[in-house]
Amino acid sequence: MMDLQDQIKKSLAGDLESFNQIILSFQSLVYNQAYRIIGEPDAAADATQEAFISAYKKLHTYRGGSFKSWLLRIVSNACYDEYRRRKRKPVVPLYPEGDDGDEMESASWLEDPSEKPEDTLMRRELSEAIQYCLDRLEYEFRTIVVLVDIQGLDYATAAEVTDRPLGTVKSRLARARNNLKDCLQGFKELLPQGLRHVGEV
Amino acid sequence: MKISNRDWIQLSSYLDGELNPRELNKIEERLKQEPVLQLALEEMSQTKKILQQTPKLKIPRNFILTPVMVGAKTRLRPARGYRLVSALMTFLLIGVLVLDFGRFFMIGAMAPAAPKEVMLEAVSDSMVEALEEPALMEAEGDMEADRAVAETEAGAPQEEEAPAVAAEAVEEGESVGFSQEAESKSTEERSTDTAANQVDEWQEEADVEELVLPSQTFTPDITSPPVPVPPTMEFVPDEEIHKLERIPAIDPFRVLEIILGFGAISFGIAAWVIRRKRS
Repeated sequence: MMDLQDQIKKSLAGDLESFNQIILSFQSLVYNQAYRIIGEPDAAADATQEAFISAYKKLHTYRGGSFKSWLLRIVSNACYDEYRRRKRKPVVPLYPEGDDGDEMESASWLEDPSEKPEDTLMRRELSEAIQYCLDRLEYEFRTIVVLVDIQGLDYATAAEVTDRPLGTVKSRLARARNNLKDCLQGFKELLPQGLRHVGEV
Repeated sequence: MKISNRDWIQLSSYLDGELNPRELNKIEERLKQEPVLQLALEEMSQTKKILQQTPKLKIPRNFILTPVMVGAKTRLRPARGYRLVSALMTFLLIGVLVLDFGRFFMIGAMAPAAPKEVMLEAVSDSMVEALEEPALMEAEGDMEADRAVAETEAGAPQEEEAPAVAAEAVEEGESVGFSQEAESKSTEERSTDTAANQVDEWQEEADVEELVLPSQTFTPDITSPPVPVPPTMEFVPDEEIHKLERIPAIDPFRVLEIILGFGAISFGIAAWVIRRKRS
């Protein structure tokens, strides 16, 4: 199996198949990043697709280093474009209907068939609670907290991806965490055991 | 005790191991002494752990690219195409306008040709009118005097050419009399009224002053010295007059300008509408 650098080289030579191999490796990361920032499945899918198209076209601007950081920077830009577009022209998300005709708030792709139903429910509710709190943050705060706490980037990389100074990243992350702590206090019963005393200070 | 923003930033950075040794020592000292700060750190740590446990979402579909997707993005979008066409038509319109103005100035430079015809017709018409309207006779006096000089100077040799010129004079209507025959006819007709008498007086004056008749340019007398001919009285061939009259009613330049102007505006509006719809 080819390594990432070979795939990049071949992609630069115009081999779309090689780039699709890269997409398969990173699409989950990119989609999750987009979803946590935008908060809508359809918009996140659109942003992900746009990000990969953009990445393929701008591949010549990749100068080595962390490909993940380079890709996340493109994703952040695509998310911001999508976010602004949706803000200008809000769309009503369409949820699939259940057997009783009521709208199902979560699409079936959120469910893992190998999971127990109660675990699936817990996972889905926790995911929704976190997303609810993230959506209440300002866009730039949300982006940084997603990059550092969910994607696991260090401060320097987060600063590079968001194109902000290190000091700004530090202060925004601290404020974002503080706000999230207060918000998550309302979903204590959904939190895993041992993490339920959040916000009690 | 309230925790300041700066303390929250220090705690957040401490949690992620992003403090320098000096800051690290300082915050560790404070954590030992301040339980509130300790609890705040604990809370922040909990929050971070929750976020790290955020469930990974399953992707709704694969995002692999197809050649069409990559190619479709590089293709010219309709809005861009329309804008390009609009700009192109505007440039063409400017070009056509420049050519049109250039042509206008060229015609302006050749302008003396056109007044020749106008003046010739104006003179002949006014002469006819003068016969009916005595008040105008004074203005036509010089013309009649010219004719008289021509008759006197031409003499017998011109009589041979007279029928041909007379025929032309008939064709031209009752404009300028080129023959003695035509002239004598008109003189006989006019001899009864006062206008004719005035003409005779002017003829006598003309003999003395040696005025020039337009017809002299048509039938020059090589024996007589060259006489300057007024430019307005120059003979203009019939074909040239008709050529000038044959200017088409609709100027193709105008049609082109209208088409280009309309096209440029229409494509510009279309591009704007498409762009607005997309955004």
